[in-house]
Amino acid sequence: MHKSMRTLPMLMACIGFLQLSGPVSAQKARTDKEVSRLKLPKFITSQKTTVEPSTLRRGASGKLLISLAVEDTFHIYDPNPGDPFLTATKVTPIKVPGVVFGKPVWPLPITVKGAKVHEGTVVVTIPFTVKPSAKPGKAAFGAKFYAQGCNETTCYPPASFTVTVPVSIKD
Amino acid sequence: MKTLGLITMIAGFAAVMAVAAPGGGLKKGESVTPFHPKHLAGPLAGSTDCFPCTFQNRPQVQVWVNGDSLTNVAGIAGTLSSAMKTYKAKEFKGLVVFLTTPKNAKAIEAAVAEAAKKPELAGVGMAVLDAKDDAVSAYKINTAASTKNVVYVYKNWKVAESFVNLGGDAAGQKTLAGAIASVTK
Repeated sequence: MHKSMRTLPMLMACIGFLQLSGPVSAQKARTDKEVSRLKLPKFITSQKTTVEPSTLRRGASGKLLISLAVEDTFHIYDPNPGDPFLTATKVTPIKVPGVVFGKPVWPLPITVKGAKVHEGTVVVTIPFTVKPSAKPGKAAFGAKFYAQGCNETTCYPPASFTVTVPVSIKD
Repeated sequence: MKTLGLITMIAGFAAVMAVAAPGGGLKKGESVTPFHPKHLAGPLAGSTDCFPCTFQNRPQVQVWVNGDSLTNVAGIAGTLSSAMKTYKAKEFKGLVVFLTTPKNAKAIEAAVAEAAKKPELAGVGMAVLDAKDDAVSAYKINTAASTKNVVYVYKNWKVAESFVNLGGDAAGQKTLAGAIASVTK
């Protein structure tokens, strides 16, 4: 084989190596669970969003329950953190035609250095009513969050994330 | 030999790309991130507390110094000190971070501690940070000699304006004062 012909495969191998040295995550398909996890900021380790009752009928009322697991040692701020310079957590229900969402209800906060915060697993409840005029069919209930995770020494930058759960509205 | 030369060229190119990638500075709308410099003066003196984590959503300025002259930095820091008085009600805060190497760290610390005593720089945070700290790349600071300083004006953790090689002269001070005014409205 001519010398230059031997060089080409070696070059290709080098280029291949450089490309393969990129993020491993980009080289394989992600599972739904992994994709769901990637949408959350680092200070929220997991979330579970459910609806009660599980069967929704037109004209009925229910609750959207959003359970957020805050990273160990970290906290997120209460919607009324008690300091105007802190990042109050904002929760905005996603609009669904024919469904009226109420004001989100938070558990009682704890106080850390004068700020009202939530640690551990935080369950936010959003009451809702399905109007009698609502169209039967599939929908996604959920909420948009804007929050910041901090601990004694550091903070993540504030971040937005969305949680949803598929629901079915029946006659 | 030819092959070795080509491989070396490719590897060299990859290395150059890796160094050149960061350093453009945070752009408007990007988030500042937590870091823990050694504070020598100012509200966090004697600690390694995270400046943006401490002052949270308040309007703030961070000046990253990469070999700039103390005279130029003093002009910038003086503007911060003055703004801290002007915008006291808005709780505006300013920090100057001097990048160091293990070789020059002690000398820079001494010089900064001395400079911080000047009345015209009162209240401004002065800190040092190793140039190889992760925060340097997180803040996209170009540590090439051509970059003397990078200035971030921000609020709610989001960069409102940034400057590279800002002058400490009257023109630079006016530019910085205007940017500070915009985040303290």
